[in-house]
Amino acid sequence: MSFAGIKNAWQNLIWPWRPESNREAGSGIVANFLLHWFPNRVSLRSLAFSSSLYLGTITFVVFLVLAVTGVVLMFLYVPSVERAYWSIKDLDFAISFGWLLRRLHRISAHLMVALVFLHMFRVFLTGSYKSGEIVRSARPLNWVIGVTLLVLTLLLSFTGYLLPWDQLAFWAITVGTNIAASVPSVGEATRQFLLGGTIIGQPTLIRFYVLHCALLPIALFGLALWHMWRIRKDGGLAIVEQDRQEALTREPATPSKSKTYSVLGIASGTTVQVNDPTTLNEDNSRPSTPFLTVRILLVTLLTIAVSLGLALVVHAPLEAAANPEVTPNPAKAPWYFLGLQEMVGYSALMGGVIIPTLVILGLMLIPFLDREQKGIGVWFTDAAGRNWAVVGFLYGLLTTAGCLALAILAPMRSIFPGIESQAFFDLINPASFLLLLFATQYFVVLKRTKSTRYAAIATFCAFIIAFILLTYTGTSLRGPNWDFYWPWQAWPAHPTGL
Amino acid sequence: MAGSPDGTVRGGTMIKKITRREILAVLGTSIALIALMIAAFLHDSVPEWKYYQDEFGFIVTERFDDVDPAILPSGIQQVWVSKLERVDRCTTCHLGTTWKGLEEAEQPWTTHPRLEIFDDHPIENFGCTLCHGGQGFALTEYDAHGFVEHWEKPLLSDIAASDYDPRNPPSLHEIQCNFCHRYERSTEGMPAINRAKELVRSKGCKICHVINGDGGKLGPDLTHEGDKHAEGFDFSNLVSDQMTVFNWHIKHFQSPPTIVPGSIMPEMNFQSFEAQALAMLAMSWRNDEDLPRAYLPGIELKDEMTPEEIDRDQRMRTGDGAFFVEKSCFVCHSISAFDIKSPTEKGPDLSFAPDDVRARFNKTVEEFLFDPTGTMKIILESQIVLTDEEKWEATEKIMKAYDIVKNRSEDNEEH
Repeated sequence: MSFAGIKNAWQNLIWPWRPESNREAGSGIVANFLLHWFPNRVSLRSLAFSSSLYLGTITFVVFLVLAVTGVVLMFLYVPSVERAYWSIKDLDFAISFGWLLRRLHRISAHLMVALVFLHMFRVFLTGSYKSGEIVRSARPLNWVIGVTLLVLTLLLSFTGYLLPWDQLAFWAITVGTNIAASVPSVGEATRQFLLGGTIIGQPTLIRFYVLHCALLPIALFGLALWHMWRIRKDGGLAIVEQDRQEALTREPATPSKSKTYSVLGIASGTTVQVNDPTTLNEDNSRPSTPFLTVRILLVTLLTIAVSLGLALVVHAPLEAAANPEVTPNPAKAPWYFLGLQEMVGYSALMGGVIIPTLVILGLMLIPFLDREQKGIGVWFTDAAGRNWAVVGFLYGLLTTAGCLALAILAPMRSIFPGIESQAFFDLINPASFLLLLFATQYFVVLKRTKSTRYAAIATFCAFIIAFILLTYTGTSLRGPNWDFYWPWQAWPAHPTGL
Repeated sequence: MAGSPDGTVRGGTMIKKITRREILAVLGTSIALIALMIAAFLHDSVPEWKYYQDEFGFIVTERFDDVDPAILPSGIQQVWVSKLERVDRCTTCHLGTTWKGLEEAEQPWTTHPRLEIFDDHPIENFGCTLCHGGQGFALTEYDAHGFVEHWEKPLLSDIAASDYDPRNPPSLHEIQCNFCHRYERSTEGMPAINRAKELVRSKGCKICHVINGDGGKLGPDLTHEGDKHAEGFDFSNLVSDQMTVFNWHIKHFQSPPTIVPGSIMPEMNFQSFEAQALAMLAMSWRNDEDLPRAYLPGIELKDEMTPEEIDRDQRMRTGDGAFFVEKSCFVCHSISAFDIKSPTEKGPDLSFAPDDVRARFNKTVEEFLFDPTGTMKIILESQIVLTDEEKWEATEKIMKAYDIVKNRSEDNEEH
């Protein structure tokens, strides 16, 4: 075979398509999905690290790491109550790189939960859920998709939590599903539907397995693609609204002599000068290839390197095999639910049902409650917004710490020893106080500033710090019997067999 | 706004090239990623057990001339006991366990100190951890010996035992022995448990406690005491650094009301060896429902028989005609002289064989046994193969039976 023949065969193997005409080549590019991943040009503002911190990209890369490691794990894991735990032991001890797969999958899962929260914080704080005045985009819809993705990520993590079938898994899911059971009237039925029975067993394991490996990842992947496609359709990151504003204020270029092509032929005259705010020019943008692609490559490599590095250092714990007879003390839900578990300690109905429902609803409604269109894509909108963020942060710190102190030092039942009614304590407890304090804060800031954005910033910052404080308390400061322990206080020693 | 990717603006036109800094960042990250992958690869490909296997090769070539090191086991070794759902990879490092002649070698290459134990407990049916404890899945010393968080069954070695008595460590592995041997009165090689069982009988524990399904109701049922989890014990009155179930039992046996205030269990003044032995016994009483019954010695399963049937069976097996029962002759032949009744009676009563053989084959019993004809030829050649000694023994016993029936008939005639 001649050299040309080999070359031809090779080309047929890697890229068999040969367009017959320029038109066919052009429409081929138009029809190509990969070439449409990124726009032709990308705004310098979008490209800057500070405007997005690339948190969405990082989250998606982590999701891909999870998908790849997860598929390999599916070949090695047996979803049966007899075998699940032992297959994890085999992964840890006997299977080549099994330990790495499991650690990488676990650390990436925790990273992904943390990253979607951080990404949401970024999108809120830069006001990127707003549609913009110049070109009305559907960013509010994309925010709602994003909140749905957050919920899906939590569900994925929660379903995956059960699979190792150790004490940690068994009791975290017990606690987690008990929170669901505290919903009045339908709670117990919901819990039975989730578990496939009254206690966690084989029906639960197979349900969680199928949800974790098939249904939820497919749903999340589909929604994530929609989420990212919408960014293209909405004209890029929200920060490009600033480019549009600038384009509007720019002096139109002076008309110059030119030739225009009309239906009848070449016509002389001046060019039509249009200030097109959506068009990026030479000064404020760069071609996506290579500027954006190299950036994405860098972020992808960094994300994988950090996950791998963490996986080499952080061990994936595996406790004793699941045992319904022995309840560990304390039994804790996965870390991102420990803020809720802390509040469930005050009132299951308030902390486990009303507050999470209000939080999810509140998050989804943000773009529809705050419709001001200034400072889109800019952190905290402006200097006043930054001040309100600090105020909200401090207010959240004080109120949350106060409510925690109240819960720890003076539980409601000791303040009102004479009252038996559960409904009373569901209504009057530190979690309700916190809810009330945050709602009050929103309306007070709204009244003072007449700005929904400032009120939202203040409340959201208070929410962030409350989430962090409550989660930290539930994770690190609660010991056996859910008693409070400072970080420097040792927990009572655990008895052992021998 | 935080800078453009190239960071420089010169007279309104920007440089349209990726900055060197960014390319270096991509390269640096790629190198870091490759380095991390190499680290992961090294971590996976140089496990601890490879060292022990290499050393075992040297030890064997040093001590045995006729062993080719190439045939030694290499790679992960495991004993999978499917009946017990147990996988033990201990033999990956403990390669000399079943070798004769490595008694002097160090751990982990040494021969098992009681090699004869494998006669009754073949390693392929028992594995290692069923008797010794430890984490059979693991392939590093630390994890495998199981003194790690969240592994509740550590290796029952003298190291663990010396926490309780450094000079005379209790033989903790007897706890595991007695998981299977619990219904035996006494078992060879289990001195502590045997002593404890003796104490249970002599001190009358069953007056108050149900043990193995029978006993008094005054105290709690102890049949599954060994399954009780550490969290289920109240350690608040145990003055000791060792918050362990074993220690709880020892102290409780020595003085029940100290550990459980208000307990009416009497103080028996046990010595520390006795208290340790009793603690081990109590911890060995675990639920054995999932244990295949072949692992429980002394458990026989057979069809129910009436006392008369048992009596007759006993007489047939131990009486003068035991030989014919043992050799299965009685399947076809009754021997009325020895009170042996054939269930089929396909052949004639052997008590009359001398007359019978003479009449049908014109031979003595001895001649017939050494040179049989007909059906008996086939049977004695294939089904019931007797040695010459056994044929003489058979002849002798048949003649004895003949004498007995002859005497009986003479007696009858006399009366």
